[in-house]
Amino acid sequence: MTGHHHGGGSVADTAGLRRFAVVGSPNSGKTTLFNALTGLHAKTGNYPGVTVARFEGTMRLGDQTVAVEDLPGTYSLDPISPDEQIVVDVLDTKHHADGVETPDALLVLLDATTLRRSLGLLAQMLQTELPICVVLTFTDDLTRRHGRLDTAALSRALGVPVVAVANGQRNAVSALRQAMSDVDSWSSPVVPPPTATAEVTAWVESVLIAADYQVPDVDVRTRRIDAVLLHPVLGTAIFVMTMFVFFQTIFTVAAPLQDYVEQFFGWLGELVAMWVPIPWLSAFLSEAVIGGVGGVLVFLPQIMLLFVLIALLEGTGYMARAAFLMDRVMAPAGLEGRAFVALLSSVACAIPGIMATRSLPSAKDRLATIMGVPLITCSARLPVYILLIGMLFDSADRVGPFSAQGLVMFALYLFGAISALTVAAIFKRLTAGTGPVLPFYMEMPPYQMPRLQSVAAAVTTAATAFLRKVTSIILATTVMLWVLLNLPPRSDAELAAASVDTSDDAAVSAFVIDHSYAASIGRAVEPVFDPLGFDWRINVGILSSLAAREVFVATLGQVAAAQNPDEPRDSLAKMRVETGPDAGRLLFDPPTIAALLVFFVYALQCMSTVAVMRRETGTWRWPALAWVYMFVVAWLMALLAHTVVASIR
Amino acid sequence: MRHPKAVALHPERVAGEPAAVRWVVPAGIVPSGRVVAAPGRLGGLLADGTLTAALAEHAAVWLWLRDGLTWREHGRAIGAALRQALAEPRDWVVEPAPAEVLSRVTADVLDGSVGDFVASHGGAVAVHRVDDDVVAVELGGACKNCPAVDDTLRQRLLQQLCRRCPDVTEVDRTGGRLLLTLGVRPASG
Amino acid sequence: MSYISDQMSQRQLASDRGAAHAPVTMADLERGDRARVVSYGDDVAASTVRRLFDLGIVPGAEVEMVRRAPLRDPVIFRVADYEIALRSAEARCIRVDLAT
Repeated sequence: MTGHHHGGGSVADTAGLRRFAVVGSPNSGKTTLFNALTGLHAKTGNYPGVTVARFEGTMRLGDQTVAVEDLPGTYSLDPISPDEQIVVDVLDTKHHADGVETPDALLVLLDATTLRRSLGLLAQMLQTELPICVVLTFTDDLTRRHGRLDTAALSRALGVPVVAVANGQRNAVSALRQAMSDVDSWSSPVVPPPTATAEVTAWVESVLIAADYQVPDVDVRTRRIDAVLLHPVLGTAIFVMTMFVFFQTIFTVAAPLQDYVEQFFGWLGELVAMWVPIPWLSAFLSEAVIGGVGGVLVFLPQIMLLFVLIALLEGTGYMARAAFLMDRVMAPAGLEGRAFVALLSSVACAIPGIMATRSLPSAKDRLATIMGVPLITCSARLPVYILLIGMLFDSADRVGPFSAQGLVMFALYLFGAISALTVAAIFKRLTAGTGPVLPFYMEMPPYQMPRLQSVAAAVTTAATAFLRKVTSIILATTVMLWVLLNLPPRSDAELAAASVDTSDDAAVSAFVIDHSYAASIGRAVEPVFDPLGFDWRINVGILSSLAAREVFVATLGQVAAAQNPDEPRDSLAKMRVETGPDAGRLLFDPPTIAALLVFFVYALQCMSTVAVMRRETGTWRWPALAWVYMFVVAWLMALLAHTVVASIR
Repeated sequence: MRHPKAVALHPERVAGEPAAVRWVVPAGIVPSGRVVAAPGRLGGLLADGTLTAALAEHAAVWLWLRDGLTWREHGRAIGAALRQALAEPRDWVVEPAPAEVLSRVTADVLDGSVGDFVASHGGAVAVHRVDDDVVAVELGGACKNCPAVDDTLRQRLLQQLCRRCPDVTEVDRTGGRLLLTLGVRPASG
Repeated sequence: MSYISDQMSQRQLASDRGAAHAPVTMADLERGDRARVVSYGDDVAASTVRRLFDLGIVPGAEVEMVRRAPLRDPVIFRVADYEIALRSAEARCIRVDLAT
């Protein structure tokens, strides 16, 4: 699924064009073929009313433009999941939902190495009476593994045209393009195949004999690799190591790239400060716009790297093995191995994690996993954790042989993972009892060399989608927050009356922020956050972090009126509560820090995640629910943490 | 196996004869020749004229549908009847008709890959029945000057025919390189 | 549901009422064992049985147990010329004949 484009919300405008639909079982090479046919002219959306992604594109055949739709992979027209129901609905000439048209012709993909099974699906497809062209994939694998097939004889036996494609390369699809240009010449079976089970099995056997089908040998390479990668001891060890390398790579390799992006935006901000004459506009541009966008773009290297790694793992076929190894671990939470892959992807960012849930056939699993994913410790929480843990413990502090800071960090990661699984389990249980239980099965495809083109396509289009969709929200929110923090503007007279040195920019901005609309809001919500030990300044930080977690650190910096906004730690550590019964107490004392940390573990402070949740589930209901329940849980758990830590002291 | 397996068969179109369908069935299940009677519903369809003719090959049964009826409508039912009838091969009544079977098979083979091969090289091939036991295949066009005729083409043709008609043999080699005279070897024993 | 999926959902797949006590199922196979699928269990949901059929696990098909996961579940089988992982719960639904 990562081979696909996650582009704009609406599907390509294909009204009036001749429509082809690509159907086939999962792992039959559909995505590769679809990409080869439509190039980068594909768009994604959702089918109406369901949480199933829709991929549609256009291609030129001679002087005509045609629409090509990649229907979800299915094993049967006897549907067991919402994805498969979509295939049935689209192919049903009597089914009319908005924007879902029956295709004019079908390209049925059959894996040449698993023809015995694939022909069963074709037998069902032939019942639709739509023009069908069989596309044979993996014919090169068939030959390599000493299999044999007479495509002309197969075509004769089936009564439909058969085109072989190898590896979905551009030139390899030329025969297919030719066939697609001449749909009217496609033959159809003189008598459709039987549907009753014993008869279909017999039909398949007869066709295979007529086509001179020689079953390929077992893929020796895959067997050998699996003997190691799925070995009970060695395989598990390699898996753990792979996960470790996965995490490490994301943080250590992405870090320098992130630095460059941050530097670039810092430089851009300076440029603006130099060249834009109007001070408020300059501040607006550099802090809200560039700061906001920069805050998002800093993610980009990490996201891209993550997509590359995931695309590689999936392209080789290793993801199926990872899901296989982790299935038993996921079972107590009511989930399956593929959910692990989605949770794993969330370590860098919840967004790819949510998108990875598309690999789960069960709609309930998908939803439950989507609800749990935001609790996995994502990279956005790191700056906050680092800041707060630094205030709690010194880097030299030790608990036994371990660094106290490291221990807390590890505990937070563990906390996040356990919470995510628990939440997913709860949601799974809540939605249980509606519909039949889905049997678990997972095809283990042979290992392959991941196609560079597919990996590149996955990365670039995922990155563009991320940028496009997410920047709009982040930008809007940071602009709004900047406005709230910097209004109402204070005149020199007001500043003088409050004994603020107008030449000291830091002091001026501190005063403005202190008396800004945001501050009023921060003070207004004090009753909510008082029990957690927060004051209005932390409240403003929390409110601003609702856009994106890292904003918390920058906002606190502004609010602390620190001389060095990039090292707010010093002045933050010295902050004291100003008013109320607790006046005089250190603001960032251990109970408050503990409460803050725990709050960040649970609260959904990421508008981008909310936006993606909305897109993946097709409704505002689930992201709204997630936001509310996570806020409540965050508050309760933070209170618990505060009470526990306060009682220890 | 507790459940009797259904007979493996599938239909194929016959070029130029929309009323005919060649049903590919397990080899040797019924003897070759003109099918006079068959058990079950298939027999009924033959008797009442829904099926105007039936011809059995080594590994296929040809069925002709009456004028005015379409395979699209009746194909499923006929296929089911055929399947049922093949489960009782001993109740079939088949008249030997070696040349008819052979000429049909040959025409069909030539309609496939061999014919494509010949046509792609500019050649031409024609099949005609000489008498009750002999079928002649005549090569023309570019085949006249093609050196491949002797080995490649004739061998290929014979090989393909042999698969479908195990008893086929060359009955007369005096016709020259462009003429293939075929007949059916009498049953052994 | 469309006409086709209606048809598909009405497909019948026999289970073995007269089977021997404690029949051998796919879940009982050991590594490297080969067996032939005979039928499906009595208490299995019809939708599950049809799905197993559509996955190529059909009466008469040859299956081979390839390997188990480190925690004993799921299990990878080779059937219909490809490899599929099934949990024991699903594997128990399929009755096999070990004699080959």
